[in-house]
Amino acid sequence: MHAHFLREVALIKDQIARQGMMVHENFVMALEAFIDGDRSLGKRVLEIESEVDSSEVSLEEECLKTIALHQPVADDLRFLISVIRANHNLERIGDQAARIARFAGLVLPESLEPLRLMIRNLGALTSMMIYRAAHALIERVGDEALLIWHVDRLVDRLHDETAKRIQEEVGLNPESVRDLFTALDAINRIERAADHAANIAKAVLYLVLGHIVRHHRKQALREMPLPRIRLLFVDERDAGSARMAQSWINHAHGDHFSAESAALNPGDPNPLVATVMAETGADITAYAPRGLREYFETERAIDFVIVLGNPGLLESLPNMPGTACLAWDHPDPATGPEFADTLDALRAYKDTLTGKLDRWVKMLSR
Amino acid sequence: MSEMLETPFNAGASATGATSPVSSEPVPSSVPAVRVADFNAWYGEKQALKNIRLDIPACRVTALIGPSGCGKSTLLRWINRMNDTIPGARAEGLLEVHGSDVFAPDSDVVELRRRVGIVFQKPNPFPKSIFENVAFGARLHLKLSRSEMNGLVEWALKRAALWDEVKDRLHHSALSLSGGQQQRLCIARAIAVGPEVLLMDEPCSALDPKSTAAIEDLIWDLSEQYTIVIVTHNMQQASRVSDITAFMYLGELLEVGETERVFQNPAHPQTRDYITGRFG
Repeated sequence: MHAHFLREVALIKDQIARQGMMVHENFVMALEAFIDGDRSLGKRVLEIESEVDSSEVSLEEECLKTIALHQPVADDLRFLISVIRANHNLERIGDQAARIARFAGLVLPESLEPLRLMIRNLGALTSMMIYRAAHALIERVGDEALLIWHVDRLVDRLHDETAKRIQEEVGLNPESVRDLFTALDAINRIERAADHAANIAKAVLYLVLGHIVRHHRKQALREMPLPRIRLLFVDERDAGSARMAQSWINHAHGDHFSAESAALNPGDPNPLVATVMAETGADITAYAPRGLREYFETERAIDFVIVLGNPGLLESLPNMPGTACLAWDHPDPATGPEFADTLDALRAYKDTLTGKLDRWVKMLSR
Repeated sequence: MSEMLETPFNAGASATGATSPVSSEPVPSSVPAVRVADFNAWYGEKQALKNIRLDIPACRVTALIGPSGCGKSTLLRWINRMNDTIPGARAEGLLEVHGSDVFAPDSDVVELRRRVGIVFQKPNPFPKSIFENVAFGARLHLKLSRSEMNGLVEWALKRAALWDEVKDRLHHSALSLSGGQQQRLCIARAIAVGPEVLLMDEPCSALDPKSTAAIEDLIWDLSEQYTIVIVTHNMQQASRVSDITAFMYLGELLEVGETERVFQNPAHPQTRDYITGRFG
C-alpha cells in the first residue's frame, strides 16, 4: 500500500518538475521574443503554452486522485497541497508568458535603450524566481523559497521604477506612445509572473514549516534565516569597478551578502581605486583580479550576476537559469576607474556606485 | 447529544450537561482528568513504559497511537489497574485520576474501575439479558428501586445510542446482538455506573465500517461528558475522533499535541514516519 503511494508521489514530483522547467523555458523565450522583437519565437511560445495548460489539468487530477485513494497526512499531504498550488501558479505564469510573447515586434527607439535594459533586468529577476521556485519545491528548500519571496519585493520596486520611467518617456517621446504602452503592459505582466513565482515559494514554506506564513514574512524570517545572498560583479577590463563593488559589499553588508568579482579581460586596476576604497574602510587589495572565463571553469553557485558597464557582457556569461544576470548602466562607466584620473572624480563614481548598492541591498533584505 | 434524558438521579436536570446519573460533580475542564508523571512499568524484567509524562484533559478524546508493542495498551490498562492481576506486572511513578492517586494504599480498585470504565477490542457482554448487562454493574455500586433501575438502564442505553434498537427485546440474550450492538452495549454498561473516564482499547477493530461509524459518533457524543482515552491502530480513526493525539514508541511517549497539529505537522520524525505509513 505504502509503496504504491511513494510511486505516485515520485510520479507527481517528476511531473511538477517538468512543468516547472517547461514554464520557465517558455517564459525566458517569451521575454526574448519580446525584447528582440522576434515574432516567430513568439509563435513558438504560444504553442508550448497549450501544452502547459493540458499538463496542468493532468497533474491536478493526479494529485486529487492520490489524495482520495491514499488519504495522506503530515508532509505527504502538505507536499500534494503545495504541488496543487504551484501547479496553478505555474499555469498562470504560462498565461503571462503567452501575453508577453504576443507583444513581440515592439520597437523601442535607440534613445530608449536604458528602458530596454530595465525591462530586461526585470525579466531576468523573474525568470530566476520561476526556476528557483520550482527547484525549491522539488528539493523542499525553505530558505531558497524565502530568498525568492525577497526577490519578489525587489521586482516590485524595480517594476515601479520602470513604470515611472515609461510614464516620463511618454511625455518625451510622443511618437513612441504606442510602444511605450505596450512596454508598460509587458512589465505589468512580468511583475504578475513574479508574484506567481512568489506564491510558489510561499507554498514551499508551508510545505517546509508546516503552517501558512504567506501573509507573515517577518514570522517566516524568525523561523528560518534568509540565506546569505551571493553576488558576482563583472566588468569588461579589470580597471576596478567590479572589485570596488565587491569590496564594498563584503565590507558594508558582509553579514548577509557575499560578493566576488571577475573581468572579461583582467588587467591592471587603476591604482587610485585602492586609495578611494581604503577611505571607506574597504580593502580592495584583499581581492585578486580574476578572468571571467577562468572564474566559470569551476561550477559556481551565484544568486545574482551584476554587469557594470557594457550590457553586451551579458552575452559572455554561461547559461545559469537559477541566477539572475543583470546589467547596470549606472554609474556611467565613462566616469569610472578606467577613465577617472583624479581622486575626486573617482570618489564621485564610488559614491554613486556604493549608493546604488546600498539601496539595492536594502530592497532585497529589509 | 440532542435529546433530553432524565434519569432517577438528575430528575428535572438535563442530562446533556456534565452530570452523569451517579457522580454529579461537574469536572472543570482545565484540570487534567488523568495525570501521569515519571511513570515506569515493567512486565517481569522487560520495561514496557519509560518515564511517561502525560496530562489527559477532561471531557476530550485522547488517542494513544503507536506501533504494536509500544506500550499504549499497557498505559491504558494501568489507568484503572487492569494490569494488577498480570503476574510480574509492576509500575512506579505518579498516576492520578482527578487528583486521587491510583496506587494509594487506601485506594479501592472496585471504586476506581467504576470511575474509570473500560471497553475492549472484542465486545464482551455477559451471557445474560441486555437489561442485566447494563444493570449488573450498577447493582454493585448503587441501591436502586426497580423503577429507578429501569430508568437507569434506559438512560444508559439511550446514551449509548442503542435504545431504539433494543427497547423491545431488553430481556433477550445480549449475545443475540450484532458485534457493533454488543460494543455499544458494553459502552452502556460502562457508563451506567457513572464513570469519569472511559478507556477504549481498539474498540472498533472487530467491527464493520457501519458499526465503526456508529461507535465513532458515540465517542464524539460522549466526550461532552466523559474523558475518553482511546487506543487505536487506525490512523484515520485517531484523526477523526480525537482532540489530542499521543504517539508512543518503544515504551516512550515521543509526542503529544492537538490532533490536527500532529497529523498536519508532526514534530517528531518517528511520529511522521508512523502516521504516514513509512513504518509500523
